[in-house]
Amino acid sequence: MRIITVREALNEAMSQEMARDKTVILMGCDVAVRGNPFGVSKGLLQKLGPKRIIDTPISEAGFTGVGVGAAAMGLRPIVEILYSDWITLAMDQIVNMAAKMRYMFGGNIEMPLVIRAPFGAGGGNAAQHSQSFEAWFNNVPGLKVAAPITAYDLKGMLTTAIRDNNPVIFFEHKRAYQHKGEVPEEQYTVPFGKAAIRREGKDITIVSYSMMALRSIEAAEELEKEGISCEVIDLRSLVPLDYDTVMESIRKTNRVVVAQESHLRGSLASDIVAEIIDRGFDYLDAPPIRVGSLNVPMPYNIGLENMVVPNKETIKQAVYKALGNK
Amino acid sequence: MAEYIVLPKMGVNMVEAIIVEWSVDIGGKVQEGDVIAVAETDKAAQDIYAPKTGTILAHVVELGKVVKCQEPIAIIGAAGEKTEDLLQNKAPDSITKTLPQMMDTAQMTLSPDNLKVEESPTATSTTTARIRISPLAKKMALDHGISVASLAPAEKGERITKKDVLRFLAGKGENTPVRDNPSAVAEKRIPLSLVRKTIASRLTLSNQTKPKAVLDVRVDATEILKWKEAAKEQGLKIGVSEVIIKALGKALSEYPMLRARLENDELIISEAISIGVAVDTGKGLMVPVIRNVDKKGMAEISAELRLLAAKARSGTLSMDEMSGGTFSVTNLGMLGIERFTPVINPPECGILAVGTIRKELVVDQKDDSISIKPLFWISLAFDHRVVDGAPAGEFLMALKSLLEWPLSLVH
Amino acid sequence: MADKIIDDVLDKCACTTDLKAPKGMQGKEQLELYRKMMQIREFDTKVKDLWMENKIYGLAHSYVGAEAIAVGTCHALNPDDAITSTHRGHGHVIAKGGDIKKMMAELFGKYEGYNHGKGGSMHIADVKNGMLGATGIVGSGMPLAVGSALAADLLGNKKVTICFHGDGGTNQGVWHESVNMAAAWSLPVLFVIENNQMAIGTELNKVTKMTDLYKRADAYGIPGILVDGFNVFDVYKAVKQGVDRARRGEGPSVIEARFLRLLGHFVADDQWYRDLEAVKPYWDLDPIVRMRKYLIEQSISSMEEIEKIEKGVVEEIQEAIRHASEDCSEPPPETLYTNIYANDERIS
Repeated sequence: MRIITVREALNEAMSQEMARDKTVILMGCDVAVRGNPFGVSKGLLQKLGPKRIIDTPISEAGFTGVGVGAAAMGLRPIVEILYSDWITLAMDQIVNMAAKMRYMFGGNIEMPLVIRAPFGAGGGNAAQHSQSFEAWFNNVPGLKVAAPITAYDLKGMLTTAIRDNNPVIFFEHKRAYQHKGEVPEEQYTVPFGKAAIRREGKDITIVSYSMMALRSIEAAEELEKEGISCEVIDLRSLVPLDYDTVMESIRKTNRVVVAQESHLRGSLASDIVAEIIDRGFDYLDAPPIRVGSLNVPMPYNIGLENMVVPNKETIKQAVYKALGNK
Repeated sequence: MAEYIVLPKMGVNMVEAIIVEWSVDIGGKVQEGDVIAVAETDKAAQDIYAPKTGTILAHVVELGKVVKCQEPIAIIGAAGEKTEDLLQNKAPDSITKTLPQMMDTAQMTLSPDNLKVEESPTATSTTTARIRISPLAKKMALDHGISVASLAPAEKGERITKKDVLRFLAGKGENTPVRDNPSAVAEKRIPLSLVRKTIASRLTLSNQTKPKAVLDVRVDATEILKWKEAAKEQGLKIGVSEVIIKALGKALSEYPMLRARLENDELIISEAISIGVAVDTGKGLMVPVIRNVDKKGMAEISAELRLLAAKARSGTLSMDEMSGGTFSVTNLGMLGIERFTPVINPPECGILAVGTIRKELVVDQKDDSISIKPLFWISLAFDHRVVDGAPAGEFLMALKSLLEWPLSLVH
Repeated sequence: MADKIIDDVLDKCACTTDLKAPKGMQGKEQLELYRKMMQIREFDTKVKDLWMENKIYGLAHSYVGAEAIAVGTCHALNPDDAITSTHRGHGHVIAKGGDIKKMMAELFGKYEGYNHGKGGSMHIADVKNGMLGATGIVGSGMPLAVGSALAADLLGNKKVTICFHGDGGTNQGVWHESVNMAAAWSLPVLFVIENNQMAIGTELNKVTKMTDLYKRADAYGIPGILVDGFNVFDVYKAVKQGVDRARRGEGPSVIEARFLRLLGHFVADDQWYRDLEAVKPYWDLDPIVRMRKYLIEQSISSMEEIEKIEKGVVEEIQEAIRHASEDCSEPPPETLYTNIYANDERIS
C-alpha cells in the first residue's frame, strides 16, 4: 500500500467525497486560495470552484453559524477553524444550535455538519494556540467527537464524519500533518465508536488518543524491554467511545493508565476513569492513573512547555505507578 | 363541577408561598380573572386569580401556612355544590409534585452534602485499622470465602492485590513452614456454589460483628417424649422440634430483649415472634422461617415445619420464606451431636442449639437419689452487645422450664 | 501561475499622500520618528533571521512595512495612554516606548523577558507602559480597548485607548459590538485599522463588499478617516485629531491606515500564493524609504546623521540579541505555577 502524509490523506478524503457528493462544501479562513496554511485543502479550489471551497472573513461565530444553517437546508458543510483554540468564538452556534436543533425541533432537522478544528500542543505556540477542548464537547449531548491520529484513520474517519448526519467535531492534531502512513487510494470508512488496539499486552492497559496514542506506543516499546507488557488502545472516536474494547482489556490486565494531552483537571481522561470504575470496579487491581498536561496555561518557553505537556516518559512513569501497589 | 384552585408557580425559582389574605370570602362570587387571594413568596406579594367564573366554595388552607406550588388552596364551583368529596382527597395525587419540585428533590439527592460516602465493607470488620485492598482482590476474597483480615500484602504498607489472594489460595502464607514441594500436592478445586458463597459471607459477617457468649444447660426430655407418644396415639405426628419452637416462642414473648437487634446505636425490638429453623438441605444450610409462632398451635407449626423443610431440600424456598426471623434454632441431635456452639444468624441477636437426647445418670440435687433420664443439651448463643449474661441465663432457664413441662405451652 | 493571488488590491493602495510634517514639529522630533521606525524595521528583520535559526520559535509576525502606523499613532499619545494590540505586536511595543532588550529576551523565551518567557512573540506585553498585550485571537483586543476607555471615563483620568487591529479583524462580530458600545457611550477610544488588505492569504475584497473600511464608522455615528498607512505624518495628524477629540469627551473615531502587506503573514511565510512580481513596485512606498528621502530633500537632516541613526539602531538590536543569548537565563520550573492566580495562589 502506498505511503502518504496525514496532510495528503485529509486532502484526499475531502476531494474524493466532494467529487462523489455535490452537496459537500468546505468553508473557513484561507481554505480556498491559500489551500489552508498547512496545505490541507491545497488544490481543492481549482478542482471544485469558489462556490464549494469558500474563503470566509475572520468571523468564526458567523461562518460556523452559516455552516449550521446550510447543513439544516440541504448541504453537507465542512467548517474549518484553523486552530481549535478559536472554537471558543463559535461555541454558541455549535453548542446551542448544531447540537440541539434536531432534539428541540421534533426530529425534523438534519445536521450533517463537520467542524474540523486542529488541536494540540508543541513548538512553542504559547497559551492561545496549544489547547485541546475535547472534554468540553464530550459534555454536550448531540455532538459526536473524533480524534484519530494515523493517516489511515484520518482519511477514513473524515469520510465517515462527512457522511454522518450528525454534527461532528473532528480534531486533527496540528503537529501531525507531516506524519506518514499507509493509506488506500480508494475511498473507505473507519467507523465511529470502535477503538483500535495498537499493541496487545497483558500487564496493563493504556487508553489514549491522538498524539498521546503515539507516545503510548513509544512508551510501550520501551517498557517491553523492561519486561512490562502493555496493551495500547487508540480510542480514535471519543463520542461515542468504545468502552467494550476498553473494559475487555481491563478485565484481562486489571490495571489502566488513561493518557491524553489536555490539562488534567476536567480532562476527558477523568470522565473515562469514572466510566471504567462504573463498569468494572471489581476488575481493578490498582487505582486507574490519568496522564495529562499540568494545570497551567501553556508557556511560550520551550523548556517550560516540555515540562507541561506529557510525553513517553510521563506515560512510563504512570505505568510504573499503576503497576505498583503503594 | 367543583374543582380546586391551586397555588400557581409565579416565578422561575418559586417552590412555595404563604397565603396572607383571602380577597373573597366563602360563598363569594367571582369572575374569571378576579383576585381571590394574595400570596407571599420570598420575593414579593402576588395576586392569585380565579381560573373561571363561579363561587368560592371553600378555603382549603389556613392563612399564614406555607403552601407548595400546585397544592390546592381553595375550591371553586357552582353555588351550593357539595365539596365533601373533594375535601376528602385533599391532595390530587397526579400533580402533587410539579416538574420543578421533582427536579429540586432530584438535585437534592445528588448534592454532595447528602451523599453519604458508603463505608466500604472492610470497615465493618472489627479491626480498627482500615485494610487497604484493591477492588479486584476484595472480590476474589469474597468469592473464595476468605476473610480480608487473613490476607497480607507482599510488602508492608502496600495495598493487598490479586497476587496476594492468589498467593493465599496457593497456600503460601507468611508463617507456614516450607514443605517439600508443596505445589506437587494433588488438590481438587471446587468453585463455590452460590448457596455456599452466601452462607460464607453471612456467617463471616456474623462472626466479625457480634461479640458472642454461650450458655449451656441440660433439659429433661421425659415429658416431651410422653407428649410425643400421646400425640402419636391420636394420629398426630409431633416432634421435639415443634415443642422447642413453641417453647421458644413463649419464652421470647416474655423476654423481649432476645428479640432485639442492634442497628447503629439503636436497639430494634421485633414485635413479631418468628423462628428460623436451620435445615440441612444436602447442598448447604438454609433457615426457613416460621412466622408468628405465638399465634399458631402445635399442629399448625408441625405442618408448616414439614412443608418448609421439604421446600428447603428441593431448593424451592422463596426469599420471603427465608426472611423476617426474630430468632433461630438449630438441631444436630439427629446426628448424635451432644452439644455445640452455633453461629448467630445475622441480624438476629440469638440462636438456640439443640443436641441429641441421651439416657443419662441423673443425681437428684435434693435427696441424692440416682435415676436414669433422657436428657439433651440446649445452648443459647447470644449477642452480648444487646443482652447480658444474667438476663440471657434467665431466658434459658425459663425455656428449660417450658420444655420440661410442655403442657404449659398449650392453652 | 494560475493559482497565485493577483493583488487587485494594489490599485486601491494608491491613497498615498506626500510626506508633510505637521506645523510646529521640529526637525529633532521628526528624526526621532525616523529612528523609532528604524528600530522596528531592524528588530523585525532580525527576528526573521533568528526564527530561521530557531533561536526564536513558535509563531512570530513581522511588523515590517507598517512602521509608520505604530510610530505615528503612539507619537500622538501620552505615556499613560493605553493601546491594545494584535498578533503583530513588536512594532506596538517599540512605538509605545518599550524596552527592546526586554522584548528580545522574551522572544528568546528567557526569564528576564517582559513575560518571564511565558508569553513569547504572540503575547508580548508591556503593561506598565500601557501596551495591553498582543494576542493570537483576532478581535480579542477590541472589547478590551473599549473597557479600558470605560475605566478611564469612570475614573476621570483622561486616558485615551488606541485599539490596533487589522482589516481581517473588522469582520469579527466583536468589532461591531465594540465600536457600537464605544460610540453609544462616547468613550475615549480610537479604532486604528492597520489595513494591509490581506488576512493571511485572503484578500480583503474577497470577503468584504465595502472595502473602504473607514466608511463603516458612519453607520455607528462616529467620524471615520482614511490615511496613507505608509506616511507617518499622515497617521500622526489623524490620530492626534482623534485623540484630542476623545480627551475632550467627544467620543471615539475610526482611522483606517491603508497600506499593503509587503512581507508574508508570519516570519517564514514565503508567500508562494502571491504574485510577488506585482508587489515589487510597492516597496517604493516603503515608509522608511520615503521618510529618509523626505528628510534629506527637506534638509531636515543630513545623510551622515541618518546613517548614524541607522548604525546606532543596528547596534542596539545587536546588543539586545547578545543580551538575550548570553546574559539571560531560562525560566526556572517553579515559574510554571506563578501568575496563574493573584498572589500566586496555587490551585492544583
